[in-house]
Amino acid sequence: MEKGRRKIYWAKKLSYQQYLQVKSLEEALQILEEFRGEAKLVAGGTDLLPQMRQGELRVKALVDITGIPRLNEIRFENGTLKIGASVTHSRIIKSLSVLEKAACLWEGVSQIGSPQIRNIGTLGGNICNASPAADTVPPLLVLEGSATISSKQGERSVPFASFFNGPGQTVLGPCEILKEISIPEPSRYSYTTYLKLGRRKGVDLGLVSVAILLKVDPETKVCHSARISLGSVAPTAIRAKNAETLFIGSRLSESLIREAAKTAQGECQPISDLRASAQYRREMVKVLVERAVLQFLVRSDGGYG
Amino acid sequence: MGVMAKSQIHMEVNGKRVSVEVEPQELLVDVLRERLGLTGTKVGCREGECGACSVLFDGRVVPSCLIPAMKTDGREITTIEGLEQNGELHPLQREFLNRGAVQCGFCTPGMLLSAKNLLDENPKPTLQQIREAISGVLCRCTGYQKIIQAIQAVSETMEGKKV
Repeated sequence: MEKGRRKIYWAKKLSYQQYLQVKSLEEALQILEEFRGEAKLVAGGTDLLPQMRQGELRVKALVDITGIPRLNEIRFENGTLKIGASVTHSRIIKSLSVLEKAACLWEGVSQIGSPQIRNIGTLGGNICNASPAADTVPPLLVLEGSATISSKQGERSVPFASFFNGPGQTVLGPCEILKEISIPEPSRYSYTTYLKLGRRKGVDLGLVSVAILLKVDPETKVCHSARISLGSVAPTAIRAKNAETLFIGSRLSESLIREAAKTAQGECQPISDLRASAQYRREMVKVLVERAVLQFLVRSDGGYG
Repeated sequence: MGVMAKSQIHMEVNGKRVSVEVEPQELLVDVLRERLGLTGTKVGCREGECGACSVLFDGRVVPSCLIPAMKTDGREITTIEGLEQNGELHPLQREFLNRGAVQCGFCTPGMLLSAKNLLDENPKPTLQQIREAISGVLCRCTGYQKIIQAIQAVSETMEGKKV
């Protein structure tokens, strides 16, 4: 629930005039077309309704897409995990396939808001709200996931690496719907993790978050792939590509980990806000990247003990 | 499009079927409090952050300030008023009373319903799981400790059975 300026008084009545509950994607697309940008999609509403109450968003109609069966499925086919946009966080946490094939996403989702929020909030909603602090986005970046976007013209697929344009901004057009999130199964010997630093453990936005994916050959100990992403330290979540490069082709060592963490620090552009200063965030990027790699060592149990 | 079409919704509240005519902007919390007189559900932040308005929605705890009433058509809602059965307090309510796990009482309905949802899904929660379960409900009297102890006590007396 990202906030800009806060108003002390909240309007009791929300500004929309129609609440339309649709049963199919086609119906939703038709309504978006008819309203020409004056309708907004809603799933759990955990970000949207507070934004409307604070007057940050005014639309004529809300289109509730949680009743579309196809958007409520989690399935695994042809080596790809597919999660419907309106699957709730609570359901993701209960999904063994998400835990097995996308551990860092599972960890991110588990740390969103509170159980109450997770019971109604959805994966698609967390993504489309496009907060730089969204807990699902750094994981989706290291998993190299992509968005399936539907419109009346058909479907297109956009990797999450190019899905976000800035805080609250995505590539989605006014008549498009995020339908599904696709995540390729990570290859053997790769492990992922997501770490979030908040002011407290429950119900908080991340001050800094880090997701990593590392793949290390268990025999030679050489790192074959490395992906690192950072949340809350730039206008969108970002990949720390220079830090990643340091790992590839090298053996993990204390000095390498430290150097990579420092490099990642140089790749972010944090701001100071009411939750933390830019300087603190930058410092914590280093700490969290180091910690995430150590977590990888524990998780991969690759004989580093 | 300026017409605000009201619609008739039918829901089951605390085991009773009710029909209410609601406006599209009306939220569940307001329907419960102002139309049905169920003022046990409290209004705190209206942003889903404080948990005072928590109710069970098809058995799962949710902030009723973020649920448009139209979404509840054909669904089951349990408020704090529905926790007692045949005039008997729910074991959680009794334990909260016994241990003084209530100070000002504003968070209590949300705490109880969150605890009910937890024990329904996980009758033997760990201390950490109890803390997690009530993390979405803020108590500003700083009374968490007794609340946690009360939930633990109920979980122990249940011995894994449903309450």
